Amino acid sequence: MNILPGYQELFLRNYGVFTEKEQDRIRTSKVLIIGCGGIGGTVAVVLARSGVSNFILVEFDNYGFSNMNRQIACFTDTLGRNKAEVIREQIMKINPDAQVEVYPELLNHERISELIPRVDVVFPAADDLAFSVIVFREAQRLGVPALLIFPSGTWANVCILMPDSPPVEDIEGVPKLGSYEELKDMLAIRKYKFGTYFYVPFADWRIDYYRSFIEEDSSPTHIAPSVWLCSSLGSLEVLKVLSGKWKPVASPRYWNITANAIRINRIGGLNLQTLLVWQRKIMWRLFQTRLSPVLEWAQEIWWKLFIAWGHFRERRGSKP
Amino acid sequence: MDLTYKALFERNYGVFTEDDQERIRSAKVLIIGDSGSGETLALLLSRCGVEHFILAGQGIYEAGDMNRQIGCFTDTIGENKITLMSETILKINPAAQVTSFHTLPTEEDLDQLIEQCDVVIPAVDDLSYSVLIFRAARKLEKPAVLCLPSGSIGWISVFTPETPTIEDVFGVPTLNYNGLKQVVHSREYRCAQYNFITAGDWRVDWFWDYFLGKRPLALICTVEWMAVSLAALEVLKVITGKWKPKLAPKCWYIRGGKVSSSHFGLFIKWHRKLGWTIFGQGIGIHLHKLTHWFWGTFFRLIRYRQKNSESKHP
Repeated sequence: MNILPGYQELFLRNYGVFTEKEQDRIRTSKVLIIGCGGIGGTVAVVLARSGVSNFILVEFDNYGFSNMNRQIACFTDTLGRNKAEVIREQIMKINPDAQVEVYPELLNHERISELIPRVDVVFPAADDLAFSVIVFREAQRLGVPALLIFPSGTWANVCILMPDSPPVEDIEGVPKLGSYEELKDMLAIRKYKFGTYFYVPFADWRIDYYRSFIEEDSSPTHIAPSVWLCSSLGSLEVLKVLSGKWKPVASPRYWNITANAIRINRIGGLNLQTLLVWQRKIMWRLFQTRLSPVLEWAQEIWWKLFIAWGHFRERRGSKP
Repeated sequence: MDLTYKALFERNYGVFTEDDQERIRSAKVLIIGDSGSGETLALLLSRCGVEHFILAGQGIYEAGDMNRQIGCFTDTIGENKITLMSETILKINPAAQVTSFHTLPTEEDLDQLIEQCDVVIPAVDDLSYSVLIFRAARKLEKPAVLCLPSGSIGWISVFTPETPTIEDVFGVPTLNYNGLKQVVHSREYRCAQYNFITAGDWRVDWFWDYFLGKRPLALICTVEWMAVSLAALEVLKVITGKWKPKLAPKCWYIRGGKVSSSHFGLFIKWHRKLGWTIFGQGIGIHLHKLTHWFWGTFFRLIRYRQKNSESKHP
């Protein structure tokens, strides 16, 4: 019978960076993760390896083939199993003293709001942007810091939303609609999905794939290094909040990650995302007016030009 | 079950064309290491769709690896890292081909291994040995990716025959393996790693014990995995040619809880070079008393500063 090593031994190397007090704060913290897919699962494992001992995991989905290219606990022998359950097993094998609560079902917003006051950091990592936006709002209302990670292709935004920070809508330019259903319907409509055109130049989406994303609702594309990069950076931000070492990059500041650069941007600062946010906000207003049919017609023309430009860009890029 | 390549890596095709993905699939990656970051990198690359691996390294999982190494679990402590990783890669992509070696290759074997592969990743704790790998890769004109996390500091960069050498960017003297090993393990050289404290946010007490050889390198999961993800991205850049890699002296630089695209620091490089020229050889060795006094004062100062800042942020 071998005796399992204790916390101090397992996380020994952490003490070269964190003091006993800081590591103790990390150990006793509790993190709520909603969605244990690409970013949610990786953040859970990285935080467990960093010494966080208390988790609440929410995920209704099971591992499938298309998860293999990036999700940390997706293996041929875990295919078909609930993601949160598999992540819990991993966490327990990392830190046997960990406490992991699992909800292997789809929780509505009321149930999640009941969980939020029990934790130190909330991480909404669901695929559904509208769902996450509402969770962010709830976290801010209840005074709990939240981690924001939005990955797409090789691009990502990462930051912490403190209770008094500017909200997520200001970072991404999402209209401030009241209910989840309204927001969800809006984001699914084709004319609003056009606001994601930066996926092509900045997130390195192939133009044909982007076209099928808009026209046929294909799933967003993700690659493992970018997903793991923003997950580890996000986990580092959570550790900053929990330990008190280093100042977190909190809204209005946020990380902007692309394949060639990682920068800290500021809401309303001189960067392309500000342009995008304003464009989304203005277009949203304009689409509410009587101009809407004309705009939709103009958008179709713009769309054709954009596709042509995308093809041209790819052909030029593929030349050696 | 449909475990074909396309089904498993379907989501990659939104970024990579069929040609790109085919290049990733047929590329041969050599990872030499026992530091833990090599294993994480191997898994990450297999999730990207790389199918051919040569893994070389020694070592078994220990309890202290738990805080950062991807294959370390309570039920794998004591198991061989390379064996376990080869099995795990096959659980991601059953068609992958992994050639594994359970010892670090000798200088002669190194050339032979590097010749077979398209990208080399040295992931060893021993800096003198990794310098050797970089030299061999340069000689055989293969790109080599540096992934060096330590504490909360990290560098990631790509070295090719056209870029400066690794000795150049870090200010390490150009010696043979044994000579280098002696230098790297000397207390004087460890002193020249004072940037572990200033940039890497190591605790001074830990560094002091490390300096005395009583403690290992400080490493944390978030920084190591960030470094590994960036290194994987660089490997994909090299293989596919889709983006321009971060060629030395450009690099990804992680420090103080931040990460950015940067250059290797000139100050520390010249500091080390100058230090080596003056104190490293001949008469300089007799001056070590002087350097010990200097570093003693320096560390006392930093220790004082760290204690002060701790009491300010309770």
